[in-house]
Amino acid sequence: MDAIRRAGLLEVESLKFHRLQFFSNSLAPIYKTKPPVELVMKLERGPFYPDAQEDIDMLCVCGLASVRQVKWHAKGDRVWKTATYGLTAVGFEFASQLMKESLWCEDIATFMHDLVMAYSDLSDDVLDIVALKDVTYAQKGVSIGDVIPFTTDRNLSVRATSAIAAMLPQGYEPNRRNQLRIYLKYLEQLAA
Amino acid sequence: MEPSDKDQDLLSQELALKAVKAIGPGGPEPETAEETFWHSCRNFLRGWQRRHREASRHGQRPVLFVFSTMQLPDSVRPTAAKAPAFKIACPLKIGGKLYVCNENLREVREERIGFKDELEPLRFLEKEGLIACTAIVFLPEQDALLLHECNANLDDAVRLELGAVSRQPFKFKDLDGYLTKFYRQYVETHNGACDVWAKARERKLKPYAERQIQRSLKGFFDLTIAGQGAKIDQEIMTSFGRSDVRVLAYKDPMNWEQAIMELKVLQSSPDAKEWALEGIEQLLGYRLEHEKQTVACYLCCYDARSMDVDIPEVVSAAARHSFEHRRYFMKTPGTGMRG
Repeated sequence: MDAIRRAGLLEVESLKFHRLQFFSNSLAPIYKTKPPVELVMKLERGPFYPDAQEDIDMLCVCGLASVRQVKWHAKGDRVWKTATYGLTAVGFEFASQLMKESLWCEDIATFMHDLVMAYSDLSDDVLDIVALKDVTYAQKGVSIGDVIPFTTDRNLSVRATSAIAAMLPQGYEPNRRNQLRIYLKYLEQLAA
Repeated sequence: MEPSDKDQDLLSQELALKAVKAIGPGGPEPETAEETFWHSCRNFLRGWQRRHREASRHGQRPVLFVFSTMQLPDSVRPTAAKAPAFKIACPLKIGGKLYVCNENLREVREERIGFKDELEPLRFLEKEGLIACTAIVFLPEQDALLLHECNANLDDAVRLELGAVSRQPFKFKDLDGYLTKFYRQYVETHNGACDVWAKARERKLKPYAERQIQRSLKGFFDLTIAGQGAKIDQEIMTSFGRSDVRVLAYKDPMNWEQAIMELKVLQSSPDAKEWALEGIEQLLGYRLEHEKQTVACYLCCYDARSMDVDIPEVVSAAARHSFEHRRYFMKTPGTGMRG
């Protein structure tokens, strides 16, 4: 949420929040960080991470994040919630403090910062679509309701970033921030 | 993870190349948030110059852009109102306003202050307790900027010329002229825009003078030839180490030409010759790696020795390898005399 706020997104709707969760899980190996979850379930409305949802709700209860426009939806026998989340001033202070005091937090924050900055630089029209175009999420042979694991060699997104780097002449390796930016830009082109 | 041939099938080659062109291959190590803010402002103002006619731009008052890593924009200036992101909007009338932004200018808050002259925005920073912020004062009338680094003394604000918008594409033959212009504006005298001297009268340099010149040169190129379509990289990793500054011009995403500059600061010590010759060795390595794309290699020696004289071995070694050798003598009070 700190990265989202610093990247000028102010608030994010549930959809974007879970799409960013997906990218932060699938692209974490670029920054050599271990993601909390290395799988995603393909759903009609896009990636959804129940634990992350619980965490953000908890942050709201603690006053570190804000929530508004909470809506419940139902389709058939399925029910789900959408809302708009933001970071409160207290949450911003707390996140800044964590980054100062913990090297681990600082490393994660660097990755999240670069990821959300790359995401927020994309055209507004495609922000909700790019995750659905991700090469892991959109891979062939995966149907709605299937679980897509992306451990090590099954992480097609990271393999795609390496493939893009391999297209460059020898000696010119994009740094990790550029790898994120190029890959998300690529997805933007696919989504356009 | 090593990519396999099969991984290329994951991608549309054409779109991947477009993405590479948009972002650029290689590039510097990740920037600080302040640097990102500075680049974002520069890009916005370049776009603003291009979009609006000179006559309507030049009558406008100074503009102040402010950014803080420690505070969110709405806490920096609670009285500033939310405005459209500069990523989307490029309003003509920005004169006299304060803009509090995040680092990529996606979040923009504006307040009409009505700055009258170029010093008023700096005084405003002091008066309003905003010294701890990074700030850019844009002077539309002069196509120039004043850059205030966070917590720096206001007197140390650096003035940079944004320059008029050029419709001419960048040409490598002009690079020499830009290097000379940089020298004249930034380092020729101790009063230049790049302050490398710890004690100018004793010709004692600051500890990281070479790095400082490199960053200033990159900034200078960003403000000049980048506006003509050239891409500037700094400290590019190659298998031969790092080159200092590289200027690229693309024909298409994977087809470019480049000029490489190796910067050396020469000091009054017996090592000056070896230091410069090492630069030639480095250039040889970089050129070998991209011989086809490399149209020029410059060995730029910023000379802080006491005498303004060439080093014959360096001149001849550069000539032997067809490198452009440029020695720029940095004058201080009591020097500047040719030896």
